[in-house]
Amino acid sequence: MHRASPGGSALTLVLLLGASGVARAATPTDDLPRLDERTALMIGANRLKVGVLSFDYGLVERVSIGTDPPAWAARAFYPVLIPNAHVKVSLFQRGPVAVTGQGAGYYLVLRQNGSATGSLVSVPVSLFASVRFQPRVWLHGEGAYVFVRGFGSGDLNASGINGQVAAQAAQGAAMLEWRVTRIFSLTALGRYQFWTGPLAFEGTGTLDPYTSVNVDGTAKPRVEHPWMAIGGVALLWRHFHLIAGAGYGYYFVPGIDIAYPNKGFVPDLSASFVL
Amino acid sequence: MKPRALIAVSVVVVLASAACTSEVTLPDPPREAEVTAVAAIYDNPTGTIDVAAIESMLDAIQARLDQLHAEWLPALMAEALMRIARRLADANLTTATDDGAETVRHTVIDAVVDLTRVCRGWSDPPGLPDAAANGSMQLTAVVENGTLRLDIWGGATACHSRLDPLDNAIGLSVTPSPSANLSIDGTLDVRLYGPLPRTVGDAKFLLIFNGRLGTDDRIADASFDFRILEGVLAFRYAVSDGDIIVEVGATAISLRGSNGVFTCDLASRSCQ
Repeated sequence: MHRASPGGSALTLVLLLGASGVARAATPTDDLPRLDERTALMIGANRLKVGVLSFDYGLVERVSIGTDPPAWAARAFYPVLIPNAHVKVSLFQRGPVAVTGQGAGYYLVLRQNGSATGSLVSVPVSLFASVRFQPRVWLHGEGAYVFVRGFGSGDLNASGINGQVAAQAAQGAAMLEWRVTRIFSLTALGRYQFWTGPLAFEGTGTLDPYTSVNVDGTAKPRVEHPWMAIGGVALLWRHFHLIAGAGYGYYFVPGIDIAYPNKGFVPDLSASFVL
Repeated sequence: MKPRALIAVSVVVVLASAACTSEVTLPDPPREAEVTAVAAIYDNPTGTIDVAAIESMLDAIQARLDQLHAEWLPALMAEALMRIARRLADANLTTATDDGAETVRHTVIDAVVDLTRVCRGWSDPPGLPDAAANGSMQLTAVVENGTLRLDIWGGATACHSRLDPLDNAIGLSVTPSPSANLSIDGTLDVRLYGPLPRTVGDAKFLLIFNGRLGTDDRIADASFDFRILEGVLAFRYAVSDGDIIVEVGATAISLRGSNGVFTCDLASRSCQ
């Protein structure tokens, strides 16, 4: 039932390479700009990134914290408020291999609708591994688990994205990065959700002084195994990063990792100032 | 790999394993087979109408109709179903849209919906209702894959309610409704014949009741069923070889049996 995923296989490969030390002597470190989004690479100590998809600050070389502006901005389009924060910690860094853990927390206040009210807590946990197996080529892998807990029984349909509620999920992703010039990279990204779990919820609503109704249930996304494949470019100037791409599949909302349930064109765009 | 990385991997695996156990268990209706059998009789009556004795049967049918408490019980059930409908709509639990059509742009939901309704009581004083004194009614509905199952079940526990003449919302004029103190205690099984009602008049359901039922001065064991469909009350009436179905209109009743349909005028006691 749990099928192996391309992303998961890539992650395994990355970890094996890192553990075996095969790639360790491949390339010494240098001062090439780092692609720190969806990779195990860190923003760096005392650096501030103000981006479309993420605000981040490097507390030290191995730890950064941040928040996702799109989740806050979603309130303008969906009846849900999503305060959120994330922390990224470097777990392993030696030669061409880097392993990083990232944890995030999203609190979704669901739209109150008559007797229904509720909230969700979503905690995506990711393990990134990046291997620079050629001087200008990186392979970045990610294994992600999204833990979700529902409280109450609000309008779960409205809290998702046209039916893709933030249910529990396990995902794998892999990105190949080819640094063509110092600042210009070509990228190929794949992401696959190989396990989707239900979101459990329970809540009691009072309809009138005489009537109360308890709802105990689970919600599942309409698409259980969304995936996407994107080809793109990354332009990593010293103080400005631009990532752009296009692909096909299901669009995964960055950060919270919920997939939009309609398959089709998938855009990829991130711009940020790095100070 | 360093121990910290291994710990992080282990945490992910443990969280993934724990999440596998959070499916809700959807209960089956406790008397589904009985409800199905009764519903089939309403669709295809098994009894034969004795044409020669049809007019003499009307008095017995009228007495049976009185036992159904048709002046208040259908409305009481319809009101409870309306409240389930409201809760389902508030939480957006089913894939049905307001016009009854299905939508694919919806999270797939499995849910058990338990309604508890405190009865009005015989005096209905101002303030919060007293559940201990008034009794209550419970109904359970199940949503599976975003679709409401047709069977709803539950019971009434020492439910006391007050019937006022204006409460007769389903319009069964063959049984005029005086003011009365009502009591109901027993099991309730409902099969829906359409969406949950938004108004009492929209209700389409079969109800099977087993328990005790009556007014404050006359409570008796009762076991009966009736069906509300397109605003018409129907009930089973036992004959020698099965059941016929009696459909109650404003001034006339229809008798449906395995051998045909007869319409009877209650005032003239004539059938054709």
